[in-house]
This record gives sequence, C-alpha cells and structure tokens, in this order.
Amino acid sequence: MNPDGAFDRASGTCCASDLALTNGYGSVILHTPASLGVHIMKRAGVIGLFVVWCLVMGERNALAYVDPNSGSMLLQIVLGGAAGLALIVELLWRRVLSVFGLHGRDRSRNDHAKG
Amino acid sequence: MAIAFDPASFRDRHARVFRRDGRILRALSALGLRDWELLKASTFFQRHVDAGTLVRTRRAQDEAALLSELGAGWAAVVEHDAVPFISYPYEWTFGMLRAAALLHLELLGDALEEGLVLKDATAYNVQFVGTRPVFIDTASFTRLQPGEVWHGYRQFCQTFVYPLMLQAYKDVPYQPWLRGSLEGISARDMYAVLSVRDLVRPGVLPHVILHAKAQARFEDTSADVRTALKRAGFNRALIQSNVARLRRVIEQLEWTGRGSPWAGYAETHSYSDKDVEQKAAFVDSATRASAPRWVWDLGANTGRFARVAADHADHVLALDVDGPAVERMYRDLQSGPTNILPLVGSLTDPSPGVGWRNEERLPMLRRGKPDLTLCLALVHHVVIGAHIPLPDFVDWLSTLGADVVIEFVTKQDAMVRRLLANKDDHYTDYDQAAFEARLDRYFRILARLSIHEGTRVLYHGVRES
Repeated sequence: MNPDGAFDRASGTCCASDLALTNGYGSVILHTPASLGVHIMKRAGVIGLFVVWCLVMGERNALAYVDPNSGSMLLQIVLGGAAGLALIVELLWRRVLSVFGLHGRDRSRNDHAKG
Repeated sequence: MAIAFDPASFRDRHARVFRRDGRILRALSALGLRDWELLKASTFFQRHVDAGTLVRTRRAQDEAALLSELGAGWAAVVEHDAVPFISYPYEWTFGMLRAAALLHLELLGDALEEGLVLKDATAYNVQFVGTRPVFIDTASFTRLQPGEVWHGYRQFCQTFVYPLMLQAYKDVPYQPWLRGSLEGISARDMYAVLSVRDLVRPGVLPHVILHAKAQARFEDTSADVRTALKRAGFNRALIQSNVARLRRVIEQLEWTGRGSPWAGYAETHSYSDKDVEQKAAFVDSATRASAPRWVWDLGANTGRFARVAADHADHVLALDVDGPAVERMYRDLQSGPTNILPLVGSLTDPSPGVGWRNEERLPMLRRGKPDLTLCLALVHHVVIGAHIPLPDFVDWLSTLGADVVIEFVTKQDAMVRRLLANKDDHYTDYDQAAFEARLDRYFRILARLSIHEGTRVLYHGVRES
C-alpha cells in the first residue's frame, strides 16, 4: 500500500522543488480517508518541515553511490523539533546566499558552545 | 598461543573482544583507550554499572602480558563481567526487546548530556541477565564531534523500532525476521507491510514513512551530507529531541499476546491442582538431587516449573516456542526470581549460526550447556507434533550431557488424543516401554512418578558417565 503517493518513489522527482508543493503535500489529503486527513493536518507541522527540507536539499543526483544513511541523517533535521526548524531556516538562507554567489559562515565551530 | 578475536567482534577496529579461560576481554587501540577513559570519567558510567544496566568493566590485571601477546596496534585491555548466557534479539520476547530499546535510549540520553554518543545502535549490544537488560558494548561510547548526527539512528529503527512496531501494530512476530536478517527490518520493508490504519499510530509517520522516503530520495546522492549538516549548525539538541520522541513512541508500544492458547495454559490445562503439586514436588527434589549450575527448561510455557527449579540452581534458561507464553513469563518474572532467563525458541528448529562465517551469532547449543534439562509435557509435541522419532529425541537429549527430568505423556492422555484427533496415528515409536528402554541407555533413573491417573509419568534420570 502506498497511501501517500505524494512521496512515491515511482514519481521520481517527488521532492524536486517544482513538484513538491503541487503533487506532494496536496495528494496526502486527497487520497486518504477523512479521519486520516484530519490526523495528518494535525501533523502538518512535520510534513511541512519535510517538504521544506526537500526544497532545501535540492535536486536528485544520479551518481550510483548507494548510501541510504544519507536519508537517515537528513531526516534527523525533521526529528529535531524546534532546533531542526532553525536549522532548516539556516539551510534555506545558505541557498539564498549561494544564488548570489555568497557563502554563509560555518556554524560547526561554535557548535559546542551551543551544546 | 595467538589471541583469536571473538567471531562477532570485527566491526569496530579499535576495540575487539576475545576470550581467555572464561574471561571476556577487550583489546583497545589508542583511540579505543581514549574513548574508554572518556566513558570511565563520565558520571553516568558508574551509576549504570551499579544499577546493573551497563556491564561491569575494568582494566585487565594481566594487561601487560596480554598486550605483548596481542602485538602492535593495541594500547590497553579491559575485562568485562561475563554474561551468564548470550541471547539474541530474535530469541527475546516483545517486552525484552522493548526494555532493551528503552535502555539504549536512556544510555544515549545520559551520554549526550556529557558530550558522548553511542557509535552504533544495534540490539545485539544488549544482553539479558535474568530479565534485566545489560548494555555490553562499552566501546560504543565515543565523543560526540561538533555537528555530528546520531549515526545509529537508522540501525536503532531497524533492530528495535520496526520489529517492535511489527509486533505491536501488526501482531506479527518479529523473531523469524530478525533471525533471517541481522541488520533488522529496513524502513522500506516496514513501510510495505503497513496499512492505511497504521499511519495514525505513534511514530509511523516520522520514523517509518518519512524515513523510507528520505532513504529512497537520497540513496544515490553524492552530496557530502555530513559536512553540510555540520556547517549548518546541526547540534546535540536535535539528537536529544529525536531521542525524547523515540522514547515516547516506544513507551506507547504494547503487545499482550492475547489469543495464544498457551499463555493461559496454566489455567486451562486438563490436569488437576494435585497433579501440578506432585509435579512441582518431583521437580523440586530432582533439582535438589542434581544440584545443577544450569537448568534448561525446554517447553517452559509460562515458567511454572522453571521457578521451582530456580530455587536450587544458579541459573535457569526457560525456553518456549510460544511468544505470548514467554511474554507472560517475562512480565511475571519482573517481581522475581532473578535467575531465570526467558527465551523464545523452538527445540526442533533451534537458533542456527548466522552472520559472518555463520559464527557471528552462534547456535544455541554452542552458547552453553545445561546440567539438568527439564522436559515437562514436551515429548508428545516433539514426536507427534513435530514428527521427530522418539528414539532420536532421547539420543539428542543425551548429547546435552545433562541430567534430565522428563515427562512421558501416554496416548491415553487427553492432550495426546487431541494431537492425534485429525491425523493417522503412525507414531508406533511413541510407546512408553520403548521410551523407558531408550532412556535406560543413557540415564540411570533415580525416581519415577505416575500422575494424572497414570496417563503421565515423570522420570528423573542422571547421566551415566
């Protein structure tokens, strides 16, 4: 079963920025029972984060280095609650900067100070 | 004699286990030693060791001699307290795997507080002493590098979260799956077995669906995700948040195993209280006489007689094929005694050797031997239920090298009649006289007791040396 065709692998580019909003989030509600829809609406925060995160992370790359752990690593942003949200904003900002050929500062250096 | 490392200890190049005269030792590289010293200096280490939830570990007294045997590349040797019997997640009942998962998260949470993390998150890092989970891989603790994610998250899902969900949400036993896959259940496979209804269950959306999708999405990425996250400021608060959520999900997972005829067998069986009392007294006196260190109760059901044996033995391994019955035993044992290890397993299809060289996880019979074996209300299931010829079964029993308390259930007994109700009785070998003759071949019968109007007979045999 695959109730949320939104993120179906068959759709290939599900997380590419142009498809994520139209084909992605909406179909979760359309193709599931009403009760589930209500529940998912409650969880819209999580899904919203996931969609934003897919936007941030950019295009698929077709190199054949299989490392499913990359997905597990990135998912941890979504699972990181409020701190994860801040990180997504940071990643978005970096993307904006990179469009203009600028680089954000490296935050890993003060990571320990933040804990 | 050259030191041979334990066949299961090869992943971590900086900390490898070996055995010497029954001792469990771990060779550490310079990096491994650094991690060990960090762990030893932490405040949670001693607290968990004292609580029995982290294996007691110390520098080996004969470290210098061991290091010279080990040769170059090693900086220290630590010694762990030995676990009485090594068991594997595919032999644990639901409650045990759940307890092991919660212990893992507790240790990870404590480690994160002090700037440490667990390198990996396999369920095989936990063992059970009785019903108490003990974390045994001290080498898994290391310093949390700035900006690092929790690298064990995927493994934690695969070997803890998904098996528990499979049992709790789908009422499907996870043991066969884990036995067939040491890496556990993948997010993709877990996703595939879920129904629409399961989507609203705790933890499914983030840990199964999003996880499966994220893995599929990024499986062929060439991006340096690790560095990208580090630069963006990934920090320990994110891991702590994830760990707290995972803990809440696991605490909500429940499985009672209702519907098994065996979990309620102690109340519903056909024999009387007097029969049970007689049987308990027989087991009691036989265990006293054999004075065993280890008793293996094969077909232990909910552990009624394992408890009797536990009074006179150091340890009891209580094995039964029925998950719900073992789950009930595990729950009942929370209030003691503490020397019974409940495990799920079949005598006629025992845990094999699996993993690298088929030696990473050993067959049950290579992990220990009993001094006394209990086979109560078992023989008819082995012979009539599983088609094992009766002489073969007694021959096999003798190879354990232990004394035996065995119950022969005659064909006049109601339970045997039920087993035979819908099949042809071609079990000509299932005969009391033939059974006794075979038993005599290997054991000296010290006591014999007829119960339940003579339809069941108990024997206490001691191994002829």
